[in-house]
Amino acid sequence: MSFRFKPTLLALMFVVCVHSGGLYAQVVVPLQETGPSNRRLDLAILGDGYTSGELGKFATDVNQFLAEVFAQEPFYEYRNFLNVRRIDVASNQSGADHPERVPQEFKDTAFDATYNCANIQRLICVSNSKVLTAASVLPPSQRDLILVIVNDPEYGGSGGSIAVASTHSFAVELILHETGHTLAFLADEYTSQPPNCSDFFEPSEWNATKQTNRDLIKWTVWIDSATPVPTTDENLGIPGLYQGARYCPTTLYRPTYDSKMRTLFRSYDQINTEQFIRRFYEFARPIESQLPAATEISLMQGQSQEFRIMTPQPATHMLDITWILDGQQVATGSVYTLYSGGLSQGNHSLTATVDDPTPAVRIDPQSRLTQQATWTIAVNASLRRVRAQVTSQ
Amino acid sequence: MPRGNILPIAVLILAHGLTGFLQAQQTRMRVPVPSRPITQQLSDLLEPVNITVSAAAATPVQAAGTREVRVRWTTGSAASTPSTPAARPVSSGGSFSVSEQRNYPEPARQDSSLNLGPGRLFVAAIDRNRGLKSWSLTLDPRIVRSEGPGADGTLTGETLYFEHTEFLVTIPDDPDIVELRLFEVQSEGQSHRLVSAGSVPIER
Repeated sequence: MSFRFKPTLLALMFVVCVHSGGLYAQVVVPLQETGPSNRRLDLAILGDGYTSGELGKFATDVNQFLAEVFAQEPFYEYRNFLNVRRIDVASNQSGADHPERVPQEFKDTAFDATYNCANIQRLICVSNSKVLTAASVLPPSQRDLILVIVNDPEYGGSGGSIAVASTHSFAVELILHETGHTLAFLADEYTSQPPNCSDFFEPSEWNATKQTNRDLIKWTVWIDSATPVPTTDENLGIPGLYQGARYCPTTLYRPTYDSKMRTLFRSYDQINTEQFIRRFYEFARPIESQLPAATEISLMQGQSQEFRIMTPQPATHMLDITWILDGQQVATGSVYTLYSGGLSQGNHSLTATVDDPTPAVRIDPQSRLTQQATWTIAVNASLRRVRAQVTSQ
Repeated sequence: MPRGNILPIAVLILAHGLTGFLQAQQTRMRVPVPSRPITQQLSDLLEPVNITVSAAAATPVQAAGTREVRVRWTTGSAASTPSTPAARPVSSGGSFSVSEQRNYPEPARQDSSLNLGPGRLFVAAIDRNRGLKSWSLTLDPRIVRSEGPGADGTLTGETLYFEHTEFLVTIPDDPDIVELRLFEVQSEGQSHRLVSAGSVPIER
């Protein structure tokens, strides 16, 4: 799948910012705008160590990054739930600091990216302060996630409130793993330490448990009845109860044998994908807008009224929309035209229920994938009947 | 098509459709999990730290605008790089301060569910009476992760803590908000508790 670069010239913004390092210019390039930011997950991507002459390379690197992200589930299916913007910031020099090299290498870059941060070779740190200053060219709703791509081919990056990745070919996978923490609040499924194993309490993350009773496992609905618990199978993508998770080799369990939360270049697998989708719906609600916007409608008997529901659009399936009039299903689909001729005078209730029927979500405790809109419709006597009544009086 | 051939084909189509339908029903199964209203969840969480919760604060706020507060975290350490968690407890060794505030015309976005867990920072915006006005839950911005594939391809990692960093908190542009209280989230199985990490005044 190729990522299509869609700069919107009108939306392209040129901003000059002053920060502690001096004066630099920023250009915001919308890459994917699928809906209003208050109804989308908005990703802002910045680059460090790209000189003004290398901003074309930055654009290419970002497009490559996005193509790889949107080729994977659930980002492929739910790509329309994301807005993506690139913020071009030129650095004075190309690359990043390498204090571990002999001789040491230091570069004058916009966000001070440095390898070997805290004496960990692969850990790239940036100045969060400078990144936030640059990202603040966008309003808060347009930067739910912030990613910095560092113009250096050596493997490295970091996860946290600001994700950082080099241009190494593994970096996309690293960012997808980190997004599992940042966006989906998932646990690591590997067992090496550090960090320390903490197994006193049941983990809060959806993909780790200390529970071995099949019926009480958080993801029990995903475990086939023929799959033994604990599960010793080493096949990929089979939900079960696999020993070892969250830095604990024996006392905590993970849902599949080897997901992306354990090993790069793996799938997220069912339970982690499910959590991503639930989180997508905390940004993009099933009902994007409704027409009429007013929820109390007055109609003359015999008059027709069109009702319409707009939803975000997954890539390969539609959201189900069911229309219920006074407790009876009357239609499905995004538009329903009500003819009030057959309705009695008085109040009637019309409800549209929107549901994402994806089989990728089996547990939806807060009903994030379902939403309702309800109208109260007052049907009044038709003009002809009113006139007739007036005449008869 | 001879009529005699239609019946077996129709049966096959019906059988295929029924199988697909049954599979779809199985895969679309949604398990209802009872959850308490968010107002109650917030009350349970915040009462122990002396913050009162009203229904208005728990549900999405559509204030006229957003105030973005840039919060600075600093420790006494002169080190510019993060340190390992073994080096010190997170909150006891540092403090928060406000470095900048900006207003935006767009309405503030309010989280709609409490995704509590370790490594997250709960921010409560409160009024003079310690009443909750808005809240947010983010990854603890003081945490940075270093992860990479080991020799067998499985990831290894370390979690470190910034000695100095900045992060942004968005709140409704509400003149009643006078303070941000910041808490670390500690998990105790299915329940969680907040541990004070600090506070910053919101000045107008």
